[in-house]
Amino acid sequence: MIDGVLDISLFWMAFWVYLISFLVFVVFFAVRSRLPGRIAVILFFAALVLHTIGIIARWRFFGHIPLATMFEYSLVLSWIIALSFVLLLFRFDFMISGVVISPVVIIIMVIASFLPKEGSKQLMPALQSYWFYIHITLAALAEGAFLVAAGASVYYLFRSTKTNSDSGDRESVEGLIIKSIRIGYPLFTIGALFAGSLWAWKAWGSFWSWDPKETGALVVWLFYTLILHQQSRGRWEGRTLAIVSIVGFLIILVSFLGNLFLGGLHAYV
Amino acid sequence: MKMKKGIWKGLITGRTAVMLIAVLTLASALGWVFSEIIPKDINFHEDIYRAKWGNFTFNLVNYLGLHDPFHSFWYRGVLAFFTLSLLLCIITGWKVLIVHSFSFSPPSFLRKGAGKAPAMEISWSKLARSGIEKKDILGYYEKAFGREIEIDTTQISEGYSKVAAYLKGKRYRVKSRETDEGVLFSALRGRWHYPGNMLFHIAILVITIGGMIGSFQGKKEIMYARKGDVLTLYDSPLSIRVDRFNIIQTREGEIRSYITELSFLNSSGDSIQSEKVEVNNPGRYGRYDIYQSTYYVDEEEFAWARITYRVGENGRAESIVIKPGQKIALPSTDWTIEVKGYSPDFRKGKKGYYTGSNRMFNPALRIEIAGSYGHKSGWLFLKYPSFNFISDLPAKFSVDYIEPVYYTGLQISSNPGTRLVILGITMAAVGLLFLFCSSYRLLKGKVGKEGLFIIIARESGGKISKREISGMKKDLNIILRDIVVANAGKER
Repeated sequence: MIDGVLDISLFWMAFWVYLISFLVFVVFFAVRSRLPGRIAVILFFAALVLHTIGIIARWRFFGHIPLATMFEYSLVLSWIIALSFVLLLFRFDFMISGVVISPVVIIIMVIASFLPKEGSKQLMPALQSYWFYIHITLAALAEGAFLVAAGASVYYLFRSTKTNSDSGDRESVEGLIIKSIRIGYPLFTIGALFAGSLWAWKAWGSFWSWDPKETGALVVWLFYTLILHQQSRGRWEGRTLAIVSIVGFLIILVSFLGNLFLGGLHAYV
Repeated sequence: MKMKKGIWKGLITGRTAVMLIAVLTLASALGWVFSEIIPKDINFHEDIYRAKWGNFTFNLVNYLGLHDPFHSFWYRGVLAFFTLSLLLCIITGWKVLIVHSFSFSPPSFLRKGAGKAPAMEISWSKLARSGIEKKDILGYYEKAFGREIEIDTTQISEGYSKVAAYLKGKRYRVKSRETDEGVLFSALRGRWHYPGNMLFHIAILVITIGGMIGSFQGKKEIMYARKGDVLTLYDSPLSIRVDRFNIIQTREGEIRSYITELSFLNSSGDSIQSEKVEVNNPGRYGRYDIYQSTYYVDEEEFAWARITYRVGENGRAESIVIKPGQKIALPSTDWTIEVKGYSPDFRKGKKGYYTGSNRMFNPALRIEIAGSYGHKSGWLFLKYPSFNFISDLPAKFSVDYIEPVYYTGLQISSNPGTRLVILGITMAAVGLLFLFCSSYRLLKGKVGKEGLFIIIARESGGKISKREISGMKKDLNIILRDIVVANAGKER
């Protein structure tokens, strides 16, 4: 019983630490001194550790990967974004983007807090498939990558408005946006669309049902296909790329929340 | 003729492809919205919607198929254009694929400053200057302002070998040609990028075609059957018989699985194949796929029930098993018992009781006891025995178990496009692997008397960054400096 409550408590603790970390990132952003930046990163990392333990506790308690409900999916998605940010910090001097990435994590956790938190040790029959792990994990990773691209885009737009901003810095952030999209796209195609279609065929006897979630995923995929095509033609670079990447994030958000109020085959919570 | 050529060219340009993807995205987004806000049943309740929306709106919605936008003429039209453009791009794309990935050769000439392609240059004289320390003042000024440094053909070859070795270390394939001006070379990395791209595009086409075949030629039907029932398969003399239907529950009452065991029967009724079908594990015979789609319990009938009764406060508890329609004499009494009503999900409303669903959420039996006390009846609840009530009878009754009559819901599908879709998905996954795991880079360069010159002739799958170019230049500076330093030593 304690285990069943522990994960929720850990998520709340992680949420508050993320929130404090965000406030310190704002201070860092305002004063541009390394010290508050480092404190914010340490706090963010501490929140990530709590978040990770919460996910492990829930996994252990219910005996399956916590991706069976929208609440669990939201927590894992926010965890992927937080983890990606921490990993990127090793590669880029990207501390300032914490001011954008941390609120994204917080918003998703706030959304999660409004969702039913009950879990079940017994997965419903339709979810008892190896496709459950492949489809949902890859989709979460892909959406995490797209959200990182959107976070980097906000940072890019902010930097590009500064007249004395370093072009090398902007180039590396633009590179990060492109790389995130190029990582997210194949994962989304294989995980969300292909694995989802194959699973739907196995479980429901049809690859595609024009369910609201499926249609949302198709719109997301087409939109990122458009971005990549424009990229290959040497278009949509710099500011335009940043703006369309943020638009992509908004489409993902609608698709992500769609099944909560639109119903359909994916309304399993 | 000119116009035809123009249309053809227009259909295969990158701009058209992008435009069609944009239109398809927009059409899908609109379809997404319409399918949520417009009821699907407008044709079944035409009068109601005409009265509600007015004739013009109703006719417009109906004409545009906004109640089922993904099967409307406009969405199918966009999809058809997209498919056509994709097909044409694939047909014409072979040339690009072969030129860029397979017919890779060194250039016959190379001009500096041509085009906007990113480039890098390392001159021998600059290298010589950077190779001499300033304290060797005479040597430094001699190299900087005095005689041009002279590089012979052996040193050019040596320089090229070092550049080629460096590029090979960076996973480039290098081909060269010796000319009077020096060594011209091409270096290629990520040659599987374009085949991956092509494979992915073909795969999308295959999936689209497979999907269209399934949409036009596929058929599916949900059929419900009890144990022992025989269902006739559509368009076939075959039938299937449900041999067993089993629901597996956890201790907490959650459904773990539901399984139908069935047999395919030929026209004479002989079993030709047996299958065990459960969710995520369909059965197959010939072109038919059988899915465990759903189940429900009969709202009118149950199989049997066990009822316990106790006469008086201290009487012994006795149990009987009863089936629908049976009238059983209760031992040690002069009463008979009969089931007069059954509900798998008993609910009470303003107008009396009703069955809420076809699931066993609140199973209840209405029994009638006939005997010395007249005809007495009341409801017995499986999950809530405290609500059991039969008035004016010196006995207590409870129901211990009700075996419902289950109906298994089987979806029988035949989809001739299935194999194409699966083939397409496999091809697309492989294509994506090549497409996104390799970045295409084609460098063209020259090692000559002036130094080294490289242009990024073509790149795909992520732009080469300034940082990458400057890193490469830095490495090559170090590699080539030895040659100039050795040359400087020879001259002294």
